Amino acid sequence: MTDKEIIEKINTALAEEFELDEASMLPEAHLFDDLELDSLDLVDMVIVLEQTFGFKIREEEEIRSIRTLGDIHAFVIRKRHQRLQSS
Amino acid sequence: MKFDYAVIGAGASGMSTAVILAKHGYSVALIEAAHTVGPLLRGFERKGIYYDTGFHYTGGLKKGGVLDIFFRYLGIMEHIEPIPFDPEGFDLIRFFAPDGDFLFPYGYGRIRDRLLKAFPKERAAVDAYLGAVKESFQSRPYLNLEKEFSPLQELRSVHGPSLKDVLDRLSPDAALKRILSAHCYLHGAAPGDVTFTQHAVVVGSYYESVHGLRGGGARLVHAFEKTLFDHGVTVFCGRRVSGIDLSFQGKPESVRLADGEHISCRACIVSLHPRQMLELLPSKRFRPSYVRRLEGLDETFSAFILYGKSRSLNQRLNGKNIFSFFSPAENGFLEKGPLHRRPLFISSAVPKKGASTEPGFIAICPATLGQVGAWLHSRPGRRPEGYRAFKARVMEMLKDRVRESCPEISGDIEIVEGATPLTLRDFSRSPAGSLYGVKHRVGQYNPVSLTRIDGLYLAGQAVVAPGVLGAVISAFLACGSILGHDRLRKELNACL
Repeated sequence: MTDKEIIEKINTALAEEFELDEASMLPEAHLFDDLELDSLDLVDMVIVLEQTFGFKIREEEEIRSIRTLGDIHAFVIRKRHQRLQSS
Repeated sequence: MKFDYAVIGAGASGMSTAVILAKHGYSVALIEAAHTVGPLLRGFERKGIYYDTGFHYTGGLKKGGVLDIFFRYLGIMEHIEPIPFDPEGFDLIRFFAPDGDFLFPYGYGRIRDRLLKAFPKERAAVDAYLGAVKESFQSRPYLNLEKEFSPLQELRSVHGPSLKDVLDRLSPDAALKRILSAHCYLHGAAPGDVTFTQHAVVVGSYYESVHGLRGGGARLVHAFEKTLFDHGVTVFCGRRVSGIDLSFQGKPESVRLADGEHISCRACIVSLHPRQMLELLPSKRFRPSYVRRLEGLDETFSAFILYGKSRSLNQRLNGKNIFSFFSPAENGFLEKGPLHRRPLFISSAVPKKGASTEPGFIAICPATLGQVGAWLHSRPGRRPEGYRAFKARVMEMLKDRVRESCPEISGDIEIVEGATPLTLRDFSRSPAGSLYGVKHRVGQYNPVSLTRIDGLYLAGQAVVAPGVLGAVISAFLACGSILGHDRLRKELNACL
C-alpha cells in the first residue's frame, strides 16, 4: 500500500466513524478546532485505526501528542514501516 | 425541585457518587428502579439464613487500606464492622484429580512463604509474579493516591500481556499457575482473557487484606442509607428512568421517569450497564464508533448458584471460601462443558440473629446465558414448567458437586434457593446475566467516566473493575471528572 493509499484509507474510515465531511479532511486540519473532535474521541480513533490496519496501538505518548489529521497519517505510516521492517 | 446532579442507579457506585457530590454541598437526586437502594448488595433471607448476593468478601479494608480510606471518606466506616478472614488462609484452592488443597493466605510475605513451601523450585517465578502484582496495583490512580489520572493510560495495558502470558513466561508448573489464576473468579475474565494489569488491580487488594462484614452486604447497604440521609441526598426508589432530556445547548436538563415525572438537574451520572446508558439518549448524540464500542462490550460469565444449608457444615468453612477445580491441568475457564468438570466456589452463609437453624452455604458454578436460552423470554414468577424442572435438576447436580468436592459439607444438604443466569439477568439487571457485568479483557477498551455529552458521566464496574472496590473507585473517577481529581485526592489523603 502506498502512502497515498494509506492516507485515503485513514480518511475514509475516520469520515465514516466520526461523521466527518471528507472535504474538510486536509492534513493540516486540527482535530479539535477544525474537525470538532475532542480528547474523548481519541480512544475511539485508536480503535478505528487498529481495526482498519490490524495493528495494536500502545504508544500513549505519541497518541497524546497528535493534533492534526496529518499527525495521524504520519503516525500510521511510521507504524506500518516499523512493522514491515520487523517482519 | 431542581437538583444539581441526578445519579441514575443506586448500587455501590451510584450511592458513592451521590454521597461524594452531596459532601461538596450539591443537591443530589439518586434514582433507583428497584424498591430499595443497593438491591444486589442487600442479599436475601430464607429459612432463617441470610445469604449474600452481591458482596462476599473484599480486599482493601485493613486500616489505611484503599477501601478503608474510601469508606471513611464516605461516612460508611462508622456504621460497619469488618471481620478479618484468617490471614493464614482465606481461600482454600482445591483440586480433585489429583487431589490436593492449597490454602491461600493474605499478606505478601505469607503468600510468598506458602507458595515457596508448595513450589520450592519456583522461587524466581513467585517473586516475579508477586512483585509485578504489587507494582501494577500501585500504578493505578485512586488505588495509589499519589498517581495522577490520565484518560489515555489504558493504551499501555489494554493489549496485554494477559495473566496467562505472564504466568506462562514465568513458570512451567501447571498447579502453580492454576492457583495464581484461581482468583480470576473475582473478576470474571479467564487467565488468557484478562490483562495482567487488570488482574493485579483486583487481586492486589486481596493480597493485602481480606475482610467480610458482620451482617454482610445488607449491613453495607444500611451504612450507605445512613450516609445518604446524613448528606441530604434525595432518594427515589421504585422509579425506572426512561430517558435523559437534553437542553438546547445539549446538556442534561432532566431525567424522565417511566411514570411520566421529570426530575430536573444540571448534570447526570449514569451508573448502569453502559449499553443501558445508550438507550436513555437519542442515538445521534454519540459518534457511531462509540455506540458500536459500547454495544460490542464483552460480558463476564454468568452462573448457577445453589443456596443451601447443612447440619454437618463444620467450622472449617467459617472464615474461608473454597475454590474447587477438577484438575490443575485444565487451565481453562470453564463456564461450559459438563457441570461436574466446572469449578465451584463455595462460601458460608450465616443464620439470622436469633434463628435456630443449621449453617448455610452458597455454591457458585460458572455458566452462560445460552445454557438457559430456551427460556429467555420468560420473566420471574412466570417461568414455564420446563425451566423449573431444568433448574431443579441443575440444583440437584450442584448439590452432588458440593458433597463430592467439599467434605466439610457432607450428608444432609438442603436446597434452600437456586439462581440461574436468567435469575441474574432479571434481578441484577445485567443484560447477559453476567456476574460482574462488562468484562475487562485484552484488546477491549472499556468506557471512561467522561462522555461526549457535557454534563453526562458514567460510573459503575464497567469503567474500572468489578466488586465493591471497583464500583467505589468508579464513583471517585466520575466525581473527579466533575470536581477535579487533585481536589478529591487531597481530600482522600486527609482521611489517611
